[in-house]
Parts: sequence; structure tokens; C-alpha cells
Amino acid sequence: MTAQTFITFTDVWRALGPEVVLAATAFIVMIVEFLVPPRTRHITPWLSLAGTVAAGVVTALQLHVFYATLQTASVAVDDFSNIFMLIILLSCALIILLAIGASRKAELPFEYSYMILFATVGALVLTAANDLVTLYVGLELLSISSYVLVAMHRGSLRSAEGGLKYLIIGSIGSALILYGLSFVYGLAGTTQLLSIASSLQSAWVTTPALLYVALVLVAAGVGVKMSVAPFHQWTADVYEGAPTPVTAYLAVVSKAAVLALLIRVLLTVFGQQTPEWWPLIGWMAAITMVIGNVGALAQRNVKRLLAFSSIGQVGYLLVPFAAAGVTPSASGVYQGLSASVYYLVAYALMTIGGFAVLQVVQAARASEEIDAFSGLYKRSPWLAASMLVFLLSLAGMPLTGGFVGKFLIFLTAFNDGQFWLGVILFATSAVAFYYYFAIVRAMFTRQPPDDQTAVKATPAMNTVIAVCLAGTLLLGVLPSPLMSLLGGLHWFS
Amino acid sequence: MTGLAWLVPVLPLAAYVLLLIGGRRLAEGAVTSIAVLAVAASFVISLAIMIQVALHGPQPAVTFPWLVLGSATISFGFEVTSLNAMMLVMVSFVSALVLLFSRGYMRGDARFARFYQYLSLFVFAMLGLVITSNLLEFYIFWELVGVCSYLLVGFWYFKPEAAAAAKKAFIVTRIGDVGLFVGMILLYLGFHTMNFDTIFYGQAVSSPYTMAHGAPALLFAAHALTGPGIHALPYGLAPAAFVTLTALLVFVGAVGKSAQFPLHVWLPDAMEGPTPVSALIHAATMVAAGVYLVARMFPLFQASPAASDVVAIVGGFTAILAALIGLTQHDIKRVIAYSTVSQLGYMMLALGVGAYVSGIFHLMTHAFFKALLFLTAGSVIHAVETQDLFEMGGLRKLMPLTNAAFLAGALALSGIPPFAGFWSKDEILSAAFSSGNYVLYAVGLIAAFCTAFYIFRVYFLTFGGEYKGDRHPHEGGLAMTIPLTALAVMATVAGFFNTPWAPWIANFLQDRGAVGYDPAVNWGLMVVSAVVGLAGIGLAYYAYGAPGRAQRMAQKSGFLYTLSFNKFYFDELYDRIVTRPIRAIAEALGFVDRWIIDGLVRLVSGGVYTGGAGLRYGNTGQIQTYGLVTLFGVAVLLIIAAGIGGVL
Repeated sequence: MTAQTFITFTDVWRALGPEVVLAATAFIVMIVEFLVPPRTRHITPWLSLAGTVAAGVVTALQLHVFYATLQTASVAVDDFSNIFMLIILLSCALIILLAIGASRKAELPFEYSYMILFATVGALVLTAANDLVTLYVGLELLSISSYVLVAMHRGSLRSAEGGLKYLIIGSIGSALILYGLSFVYGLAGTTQLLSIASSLQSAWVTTPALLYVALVLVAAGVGVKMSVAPFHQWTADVYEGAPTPVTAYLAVVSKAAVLALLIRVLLTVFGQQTPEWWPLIGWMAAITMVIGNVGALAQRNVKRLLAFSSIGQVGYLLVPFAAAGVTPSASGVYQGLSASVYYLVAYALMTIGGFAVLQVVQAARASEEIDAFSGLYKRSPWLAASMLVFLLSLAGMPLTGGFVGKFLIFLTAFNDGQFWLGVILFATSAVAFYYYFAIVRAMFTRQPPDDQTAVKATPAMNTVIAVCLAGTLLLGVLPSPLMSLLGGLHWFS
Repeated sequence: MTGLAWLVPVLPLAAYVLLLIGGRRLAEGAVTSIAVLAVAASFVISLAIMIQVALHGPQPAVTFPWLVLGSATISFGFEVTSLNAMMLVMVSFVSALVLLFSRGYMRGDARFARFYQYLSLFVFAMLGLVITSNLLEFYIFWELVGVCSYLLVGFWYFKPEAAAAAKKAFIVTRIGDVGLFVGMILLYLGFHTMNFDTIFYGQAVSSPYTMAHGAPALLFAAHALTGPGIHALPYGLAPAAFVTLTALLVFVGAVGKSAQFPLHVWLPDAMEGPTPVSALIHAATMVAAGVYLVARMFPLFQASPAASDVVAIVGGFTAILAALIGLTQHDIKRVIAYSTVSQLGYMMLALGVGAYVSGIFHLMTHAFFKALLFLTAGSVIHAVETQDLFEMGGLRKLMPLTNAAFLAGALALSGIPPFAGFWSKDEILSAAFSSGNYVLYAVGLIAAFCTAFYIFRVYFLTFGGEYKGDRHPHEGGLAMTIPLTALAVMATVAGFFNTPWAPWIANFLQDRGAVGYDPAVNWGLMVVSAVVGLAGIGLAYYAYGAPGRAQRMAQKSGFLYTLSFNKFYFDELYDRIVTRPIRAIAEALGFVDRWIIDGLVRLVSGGVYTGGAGLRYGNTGQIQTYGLVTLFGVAVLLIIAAGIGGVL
């Protein structure tokens, strides 16, 4: 640490601009929600949306700007955190809009509009944290807010049950991470990530076993948080119980933030010995891809199906990271990161889009089973066509973002000599077609049971679906803009 | 004209978009006109392109960058070579006729416009696949073609068999796609490009002279194995091993798409789709895409004798296997479907022994006569409303035009001179013979005998004897008879495009130098081929010309008949060793999820209502399970990590 004794406002703003904007908005929304009469409470989510967009703008302005002094402090302002923050804020904005579009049907109390912001502040801190304590604070802020969000559907037993389960399992995850980090602290004697890395150089020689224990505990805890097999079991239950916008939030924002944590901690703290431990991540990715996709085969409830599918998707996200470990050259790692982030953007768009359509159908039919999608094409061609694109993209069909993302991941895996990971990725995608097509078939080839009226979505919902649809297709047809953006990032420096 | 080549696929796409927007409101006639006119225009342009290629040679690829990956750029574009100029003409010709035929066949279908919409999309994808200059782009169209096939096989989704067949077709071909995709990535890693040109010749070729598929086959061999263009090969593979591996992986994709053994099981089931679909997609075009792929990648296969041998052997085995199964099937479309599998086997056999021209020539003649056979079968099915051969008969007098058309197709398929199939099939057989592959030659010859037998079995059962049904079969309208006539003419005369004394196609495809292996004319082998075909027809006449004799023959052959009738039990075999285990795993997971975990939840929530014991206490069992599994996972990871860290 340098002799920086005074922290000026400029320093705080540079380090935590987006977080400050978002947290301030959250407090304002909280007060507004408390003060205004119930009839006008529906403006609160719009305030949250505005705050999220503002935070996004602040983040976008930080791109390519690097503050060297902050790098050594507890918060890193680098392009790695910027790009993850942008994804998180974009997803968060879409999910708030999704919640707005669904609010009357989802019976979400308006408290969600600031809870979601607090959770997102946690997620942002998590991506930027350069210090174990900061990191843990971000993680807990995200987790605890998420527990509340899951249980927010008042009067629903399933929602309460989901919240409780998430609390218990999530706490186990947090405990594992904390336990692992305590080993790291014990060995290094400092909490700052870069200092830890240099302090640990001798520990790799003297006490490698303890470091491996720490590594495994962190990996396992992160595995619980982002549902990596074999720590995935809570996923389907919690996703099913949570209100749909919250499910989308868990599937996209939580996973993105925790992925950022995993990458930063492993690369910084344990980066020295990457070639040694990468098979651990490789195997976790492989098992996750298999379990997620095979597990989805047996599901009839679309939310559970999407839950299992999201487990599989996490497996894909880990592949480039696992593979990059083999050739720990900076360019190799960055290429892997680019592939992961590209797929993460596509994943965010197609998942939020899919959950948005599910929310509309669920509201119209009071069911989340695949049968609820029967004849959707007749009742709303627009929704059915959008859902088709999202599902095809999740399955990795060409001309969608999902394909280009998987293609890049596949390329990375092969480039790094991880033939087997690539093959598992492709094979599990082939399996995935099977269950996604169950929904497609229901939408296009089955007759709607008796209710023939058109399914209508609210304007807000249609906006979400349209944005996700446009993004998914654009990423599939014109990958260059995002690829060149990612190619030009200064990830950690 | 070649600058306008992009119009060829784009016109059907425009038709698709038009039908997508306005299809529901348009009359059937208008829908047909839009689609047929668009594809017919594509055909005219293709023809002009082919003439230009014949006169001035192929043109360089037109490309634009799509994706920049570090130092490498993946670009998209199109190019016209002599191979794909010919394919464009063939595909657009058959497509236009099938689209016209569907006017009569699908008349009155509730989703008439949708049918044309899907078909137009398919034609777009197929033409795009042919014209592309880039492997990744090829793959994208390859998948799109598969999706269209899925949509069209399952078009009559209310038939459960159709829905099941669509799914089976899609998933089985996806298995092949894994191979193609992996092969593609490996080629990219080896050559840092996806362009066909650059892969084969080491640089983007700007001079039209070197672009043809000609002598560069050998050039590629040199380039791939030793040339300076090649980068460090992935996994430290030796160049020869790399070429063989990628060629085989690419071939796996072709095996899936072209229904070769052991992935042939999907094609006969795909016959659940409407018959025009079977004619276009599952006979003339899409299934030929696998053969086209091998032809397009011919330099790669030329560079690897081992991979070529595999192609030849798989092709030959498929040819005989499918021909044997075709002997005993009862469903008219299934017989023709197995015949398609078998004929595709011949094409692979040709490419495998290096007979590039023969393989493509057979691809072309087969497209004509097989589309013809399917469309006549469609005409028959449309008239008698059954697909069971033993419920037909006597249609010769009732439907004379269909009779004549089917006869032309059957003679072409059987390889009787002067019909189209004779010239191309004979070329393949003589290539197998003169390249020293005597076993493959014998296999091909036996398969040819079976082919003549099974197709004339169909002919005699359908058109000979007396009509057994109670309907009044008659010819379809003009929309059905015009395509039949046009295809019948092609099935009769297309062989003359490449005869020993006037090898036009051979000259066209090899205008820049010889490609592969071109057998010398062998009049003796020609006579043998013709005699074998006639013998098959004679046996069919002996068996099915008179009633009752066939049953006795079937009884005599007993076990063999059962084996053939049950398609050598491939479906059952795959069900046992692949489908059931996977389903069992999924069901086991589902069982745990649904009964053990869900059951506990129900038990608990039931308890909440009755005893009010509270969710908290009851649910701990389940959460404990999750926690326990988490702990178990940590333990396993620790053990693995200990292994890695050298502690254990």
C-alpha cells in the first residue's frame, strides 16, 4: 500500500462510481417507497431502472481507463471489472423491466425494487474487489439480498420454502468460501489480493497442501453459489420457488458476479500454479455440463428445466477458463476470458428473454408445465417466435448468439489442447436439443387446450423480449462489434 | 453473371419472407406462384452461371470479414466453381419441379402456405450450402438445412410417427455434426482459416486458374504435409495423421447427413413427411449434401489414402446393406428410401476409390431419377391413399402417365441402358474394378442386382396385376404431371451428358486438369452391369408377375427374409445400447427429483396443513441431503487436489 493517507471524494468516485450511484438510488427508492401512498408505488421500480441505467453509463465511461493507484488498493478499476459490471447492470435493468411488466401477475411487493439494487451493488463490489474483506462484503450483500428476493412472494409456500433452502445452502457456500479465504490469509498475512500473490510464492514450496485446501474450499463455495455440479442440487428447487424475475436474476446476475470472483481470485491468488490445478476446474466444468443437460431431460416443469439448463450453461462458461489454465500466457488467458464473456452476454440475453416469455405464459395459463406452452404459436406468434430464438440460442444453433459464443469457447478449448472439454461441450449441446425441442414442439405443433384467446404481454415485457431477441440475433449474425470491444480491453492492467 | 451468384439463394429466401408475412392471406395458387417463380428464377441464373463457367472458367470467391480472432479473420462469402455451378443447377431444377408438384399434392391442406414457406427456406439453405466459400458458413447452412428437414418431416405433427421421425432424424444427424464440427475446428487450428481455397492451397487464390478442383488435389497434399502454409499442428500431430483425422471427422458429418452406415437409421423413418419433401430433401438434395461435402473437401481425402479407404468401404457396405433391406419392405416409400441410402453408398464408394467425376455424375442422375420415383410414388399414394404395396396393383391402365414415369425412373435406377442411372452407376463400378478394389466391385454388383429386383418388385406390385383397392385412382392435375414428365425426360437422357464418347461432365468438372481417378472405358464391364440389372428385373418378374410365388420364395429364404424385413435389427440394437441407457439415467435423475425429493416436500407440506409442525422441521431432511452432497463434493475435490499437489 502506498502512502495514501487521505481518501478524497474523487478517489471514492473513481473506485466505486457505479456502486455509489446504485446504492444512493437504492436508498432513495427505499424512502420513496415508504413515503408515497400505495397507489403511486408503481413508480418505484422505474426509479430503480433509472438508477441502474445511470450506473451503467458511469461504468461505460470507465472503460479503458485505468487508475494505477487503485489497483493496489481494495478495489480494482480495470476492464475486467468494467465489462462484468456492464453485463450485470444491463441484465439488472432488463430484469427490473421484466419485473415491472410482470408485477401485477407476479404479486411482487414493491420492496423488490430496492432489494434488487442492493443485491446488484453487492454483485458490482464482488467483480471489482481486490481485497478479501471487500470481496466477502460484496458476496454477502449479494447473497443476503437474494435470499430475501427469493422469499418475497408473500403467501406462496413454495417461495418461502425456496428462500429458506437458498439461505441454508447459500450460507454453506459462504462458509466454505470464508473458510478457504481464512487459510489464504493465514498463509499470506495480508488481505490484499496482489500482495497475497507475492507473499504466497514461498508457501507453494513449503505448504502446498494448505493452499490446495484453500483452493478447493473457495472453488466449492463458489460452486455452491453458481450451481456447479456437484453443488447444484438446490438450484431447481429455489428457481422453481422464486418469483420468475428473481429466478432470472439468480440465473444471470448472481452467476455473472460469482464467475467474476472465481476468475479474479483464482488467477490472482493461485495464478502461479495454474498448470497444476486447472484439471480441477476442468472436471467441474465437464461434470456440470453433463449433469445440467442430462438432468434437464427428465423435467416437465419449464422453470425446473431452465434451472437445469442454466447449470449446464455454467459448465460452458467455465470451459475457456479451465482450458486457459493449460497455457498460462496472458494472451491465452485473455482469449479465454473473451470467449467466456461473449458467451455470458449471449447467455444473459437469451436467459432473460426466455424467462420473460415464461412469465407471460405462466401468468396466462397459471401453469409452468411444458403443456402450458401448447399452441402458443396460435395464441401469440410473436411470443412463440421469440421463445424459439431463445431456445435455439441456448441450444447453440447457428445465427444466434449462443452459437457464436459456444463456437468461441470450443475454439479456445481446442486451441489450448483440451479436446475432451470441447467434445463434451458439443455432445451435451446435442443432448440439449432434445429437451428444448419439447417446448418448441408444444408451442408449434400442439393445439391450445380450450382457451383460444390471444396471449398478450405488457409493453414493458414486450420491450424486454424485443431487446433480448434483437441482442441474441445480433450477436449471432454480427459478432464483430462485441468481439472487437473484448479484443481491445486491458483486462487486468 | 457469377457476380450475381448471391441472387441464387437469396431469391428463395425472399419467397420465404414474402410467404412468412403474407402467406396466410394468399390463395393457394398465389403461394405456389411466388415460391415456384423465385426458385425458377434461381434456376435460370444458375444455368447462366454454369454456361459462363463452362466458357470462362470459375471465378474467385467474393468474401467479406465476419469475425476477427486475434491474427486470423473468418470471412463469409460465396464462390462459383465448376462443382458448385453444377450443383446449383441441379438443386434449383429439382426444387422448382417439386414445388410445382406440391401444388397438387398438398391441395387443401390447412397449412398449405406454411408448407411452401418451409420448402422455400429449405431451398435457400441448400443453395447457400452449395455456394458458400467457407467451412464455417457451410456448417451454418448445414444446420439450417437440418432444421428445415426437421420441420418438414414433422409437418404432419398430429401423426405421432411423424413427430417421432422428425426428432430421430434431427438427433441422429446431430451425432454426425459433432464430427464435422470437431473436424472443422481442427482444420482451422491447423490452417488458421476457414476458407476452402486457403485450406487447400495455402493462400487465398485470386487467379481463377488455380481455383478449379483440378491438379490442386496433389498440390494440397504437398501443402498440407510439408508446405510452408501450414502452422504448428494441434496436439503435435504429424501432418499425415492430421490430414487423416480431419478427413475422417468431416466424413462422420457426411455419414450422418447422407444416412450412411451406421447412422442410416433416420432416413427411412423420415418418410413420414409429405412425399414431395421426401423427394426433394430426402432423395435429391439434402441427403446428397454429405456426398457434396466429401466432394468439396476432395483434396483433403485425396491426401489421405486411409480416410479414402474408409469412405469407400462405408459406402460399399451401406450400398449392399440398404439394398438387402429394400428387398422385403412393404411400404412403397420405405423401399425407395432404402434405395436412396444404397445409392448414396454408391456415391461414397466412388469418391472413396477416387472416382470424383463418377461420384458427382451419379449424384446428379440420382437426383433426377430418385426425385422422379418419389414423385410418382406420391402420385400413386395420392390416388390410392395407401402406402402398402400389397393393397395396390393394376395402376398401369388407370394411371398410364405415372406408370410410364415410374418405369423410366425404375429403369434408370436399375442401370438399364440407355437410362441415366446406367451410365453413372457403371462408371462407379468400373472405377472400383479398375482401381483394383475387386471386393467392392463385387459388392456393388450384387447390390445392383438387388436394386433392380426390389424396384421392379415395387413396379409389378403397384402397376401390374389387378387393382386391389376400392377407390378410383386417376392422374393428378397438370401441376403434378408436368414435373413428372420433365423429370422422366431427365431420368432418361441425363446419362448422355457423360458417356464414354462424349464425357461432357468430366470435361466440365476437370477443365483445369484431372481430378482423382478416371477409369478407362471398359465395354466388358458395361455389358456385365446391364446383364445384372436385367437379371434382377427378370427375377422380380418371375416372383411378382404371378400371384403366390413370392410368398413361397419368402418362406424358402426364411431366416434371411426375416432379417431383411426387420432391417437387420439396427433400430432395436441402437435402442438397446444407446437410447435406453441414456433414458434410464435421465429417468433415474428424474425419479430422485420427482419422488424422493418432491415426495419429501409433499409429505412435509401435507404435514404443514395437518399438524402445523412447520416447514422448518420437516424440510431439514432434504436440506441435509443437499448439504451432505455438498460436503461429499468438497471431499472429492480435496482428494483430487491432493492428488494433483503430490500430497497423496
